[in-house]
Amino acid sequence: MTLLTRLLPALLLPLSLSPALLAQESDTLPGYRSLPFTLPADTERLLLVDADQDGLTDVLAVAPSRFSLYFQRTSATGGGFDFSAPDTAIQLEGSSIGWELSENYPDAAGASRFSLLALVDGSRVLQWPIRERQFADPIDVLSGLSAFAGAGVNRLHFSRDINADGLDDLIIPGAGTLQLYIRNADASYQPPLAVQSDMQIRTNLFVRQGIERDVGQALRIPLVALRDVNSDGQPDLISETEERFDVFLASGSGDYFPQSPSYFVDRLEIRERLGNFDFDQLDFANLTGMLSLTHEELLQDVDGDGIDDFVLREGGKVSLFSGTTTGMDFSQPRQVLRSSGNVLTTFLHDENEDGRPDLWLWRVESISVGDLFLWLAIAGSINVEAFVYPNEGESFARRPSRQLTVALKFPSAVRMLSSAIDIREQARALEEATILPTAIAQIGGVESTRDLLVLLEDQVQVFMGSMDAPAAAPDDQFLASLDYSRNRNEYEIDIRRFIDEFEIEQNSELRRVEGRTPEHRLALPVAMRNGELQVASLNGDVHDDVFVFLQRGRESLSGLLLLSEP
Amino acid sequence: MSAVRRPLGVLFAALLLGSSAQAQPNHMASEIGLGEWPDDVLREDMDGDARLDLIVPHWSAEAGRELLVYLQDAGGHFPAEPSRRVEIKPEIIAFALADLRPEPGRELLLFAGNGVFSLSSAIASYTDNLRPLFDWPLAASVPDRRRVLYLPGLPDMNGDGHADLLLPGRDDYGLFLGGPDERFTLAHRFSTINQELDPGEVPLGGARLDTQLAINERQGIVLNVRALGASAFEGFLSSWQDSDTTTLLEAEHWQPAAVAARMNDDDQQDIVFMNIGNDLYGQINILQQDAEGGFAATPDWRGPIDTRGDIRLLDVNGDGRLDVLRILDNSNEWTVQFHLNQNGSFRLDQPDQVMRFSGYDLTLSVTDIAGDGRPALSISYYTIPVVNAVRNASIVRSQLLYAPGSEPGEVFSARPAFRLDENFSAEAVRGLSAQIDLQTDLDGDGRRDAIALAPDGTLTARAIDAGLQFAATPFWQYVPTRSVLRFDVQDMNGDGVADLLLYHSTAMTLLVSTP
Repeated sequence: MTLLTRLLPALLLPLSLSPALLAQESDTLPGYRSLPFTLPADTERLLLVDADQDGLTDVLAVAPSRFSLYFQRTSATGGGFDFSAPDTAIQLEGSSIGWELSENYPDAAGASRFSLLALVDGSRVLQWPIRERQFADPIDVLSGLSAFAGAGVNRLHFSRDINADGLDDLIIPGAGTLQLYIRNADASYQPPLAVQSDMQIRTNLFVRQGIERDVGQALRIPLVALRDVNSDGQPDLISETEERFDVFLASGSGDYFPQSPSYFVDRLEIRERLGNFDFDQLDFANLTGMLSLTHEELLQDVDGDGIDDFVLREGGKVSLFSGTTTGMDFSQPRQVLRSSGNVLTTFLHDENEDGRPDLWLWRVESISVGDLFLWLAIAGSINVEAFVYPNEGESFARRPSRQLTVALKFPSAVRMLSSAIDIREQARALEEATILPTAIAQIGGVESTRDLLVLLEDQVQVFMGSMDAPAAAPDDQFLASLDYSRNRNEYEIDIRRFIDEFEIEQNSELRRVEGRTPEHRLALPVAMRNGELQVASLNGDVHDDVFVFLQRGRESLSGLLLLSEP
Repeated sequence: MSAVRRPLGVLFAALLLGSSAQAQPNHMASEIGLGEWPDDVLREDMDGDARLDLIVPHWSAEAGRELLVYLQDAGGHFPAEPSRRVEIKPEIIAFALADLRPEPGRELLLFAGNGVFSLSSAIASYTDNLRPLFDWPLAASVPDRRRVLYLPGLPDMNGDGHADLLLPGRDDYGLFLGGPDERFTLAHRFSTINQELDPGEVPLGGARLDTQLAINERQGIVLNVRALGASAFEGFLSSWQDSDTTTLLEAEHWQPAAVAARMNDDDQQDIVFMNIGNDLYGQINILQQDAEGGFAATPDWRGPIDTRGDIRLLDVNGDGRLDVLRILDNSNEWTVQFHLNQNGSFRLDQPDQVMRFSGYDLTLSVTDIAGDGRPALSISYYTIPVVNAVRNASIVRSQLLYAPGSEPGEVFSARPAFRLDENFSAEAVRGLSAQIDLQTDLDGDGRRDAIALAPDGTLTARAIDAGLQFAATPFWQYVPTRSVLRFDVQDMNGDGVADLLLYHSTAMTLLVSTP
């Protein structure tokens, strides 16, 4: 942390109190309307939606079991928002509510409406269409379910178009499974397809000694992967768990997906074949020999026919299987390559720039227990080698055409541990630091620059044109991290550099405006406390709109919307 | 580690004195597969024969989640195949074990998202077996597909001999007192969250970090870490269509944990929890059980505590009441603060004793070595002398024992009564797999012994004398045929003789004493 960074907030604050030096304080920005808002304290989030489908963005406030919509008025009706009361709101009853929004459901009259959908208590799905800027009566979408959507009210991305027919389908989470309901044109659903899901669940219900720990549950359920793997133009379903790799090919007739996978790989069987880890079988002179127990599966088009093929690595053995329009030919591998040494991983990437993916096989050198003990106290290095097997059309070359070496250099474990403590101390020191909330937005009309907004306790300061417009995303190439080129085979990653150069930036944007006078100062109606600036685009003009969140307390949360006037 | 285990008899010592290269003939050896979660293997009497049985959690693609029960027979033998298989239905989130029904042995308490059930493992089916006990919205609502949680150590809050339940709910805790005929009564509800605190005042944990790992051709890997101010509106505003599409559901809900423990002199179990106080500091809260078995609506005692470091409850002075330890680490520098329980209150601003240690991966426990109710402090840590590491690739494990304090104001003596520095090289790595066990009186002399894995993987036991010194040579050793990664010592068949549970990589060996 530099001295300058430390002093910046302190420098800015007195400046803000010197009217002679600064622009006149006002209650809004030129070309903007200032719309204060006070919302119920239990409001958990605001979602920007176009609920009445008029091209203007509206605000949906989500509180436990209560959904409130604030519509943006058109210029003909005065524009802006009326935050004094929601334009429409509904209260949902239930101990477990998973909700989602969609534009792909018809209302009772058959017209496609923006709708709120909710999986209520895991048993039924209800739809509330928005009609004439009001939540209409709920429509039963699906019932008789046995689902788990977590306790309380949670966003559940369960309504999406799985089969690309323009109708939203439903993905209902169960106990370790997902039930896929494909919606038919007549609003009925095909028989559900159950696919396994590796949910990430962290649960703690009990502590013994460490009373600083919390009890509860954290949950993440990944979505299923959908893409066309057999080149028939229809999305297929790829379901991966620890035990299986299943592919369900879309069928041309009848139900969209078959009830059992079109093809699969049994990962448990592979692990059984490779053998389980056994400490007594461990070679202390070559711990990386354990990699022979690892496997990986790649589903990707190798031969360029548009149909994904299957690359299976088991230890150092790589098998290539051919994909067909109706499945995968697992009867006979098209090719088997065997590598000695400790194979770390494989992937497909075009190395020779012929437009075809080549096989990269990465090996790591032997690491012994003695090495590990040594690296506890002194810095070390591990060489990782990549062997590139060029794609010859139907299969890969028998021999690698190229070998790369990446030297991974790292400090001793003791040094890393001490660096981790330093980083922790840096982070802890931030608790004492003043970090001002900032946002970069386009307030003025200059396309090539951006403006900096700084949220102080009693005002927002705006430094016009002080920031660069965001640069186009760099055209990073594969292995750019190594300064990769086809002409170079030796590379190095030095973790020591990260540690040496590590620094937590504070108030970095403020450095750009050091010594400058803000062009605008906006007085705040109430003092900011743990507030935040958020930039949005609500009315489609070239100017950003800004939410100034000021404070949340026991009774309410308050803020200000700076809405550009087109 | 602080739990007091009953002294084990002399028979074991008599049988084991001297060295042996294989399992003792007076011990029945059994081996069972460990499955995926060796740390979750339980030991309880499931059939009421006063012998401990083994319960091994298991998952398979065909059968889903199961508890495999291996019943110990009269000869101390465990079968190779499970005696009982208990199916865990998909709705079940957690289970506990308690003696609920008149039939011998322990039953299962099954916790679903909205209710608690009982089940006997002796009946092979849920039909005519599963009994709903009471409704309760558990703090966790989604079960894990492969694993079922275990709730250990059900307290007997009121000493009536029935297991009670202190259960976290969605928003608060419920204390359910057990009674005959599987009856549970909701006796008290309380929140571990400070309800007096305005949400706007709750500290937000200081600055947030925005970490970006970028890759560009000019600078290679660039790690950019930026501090963001504390915000009460993190993630508050988003666009419906910008949402993350790789996740179906992401949710979490946590609250401070509560612990049932004896905190004052009345021999009854109280409730302890930690939260944020009105002064925005950490706060320890004690709900004391009154003479009628009730609890007040608000804590009987509160005290502010600096929440940095690990805060543990442990009876360090053997008075039967839990004390507070605060352990701070700074790389290889450790500070341990002891706050003694003063009949249900603490001086948390002033530790009763502060001790400092220098080493890595410090482990702390208290153990009543002499069996006189005055525990000693056991400290273990590692040091990495660079010369050792370079010369022969080795590290040092230090074991220290501190006698109970003899000076006023001392919980433990300021200087260790015993210190053992062991050098472990790469060839001796097997000896590092388990810490020295100081909880068992193996030779029955009324004093705990030091049971440890020697550098070659041999399990050894050495006596500890009145001065807390380890004997120079072991009085017992056992050479396992397979590497031991962890071991436990427990009387499995109620004969007062210590039995051994040796955990290998994929299986465990049980050595149970036989007459």
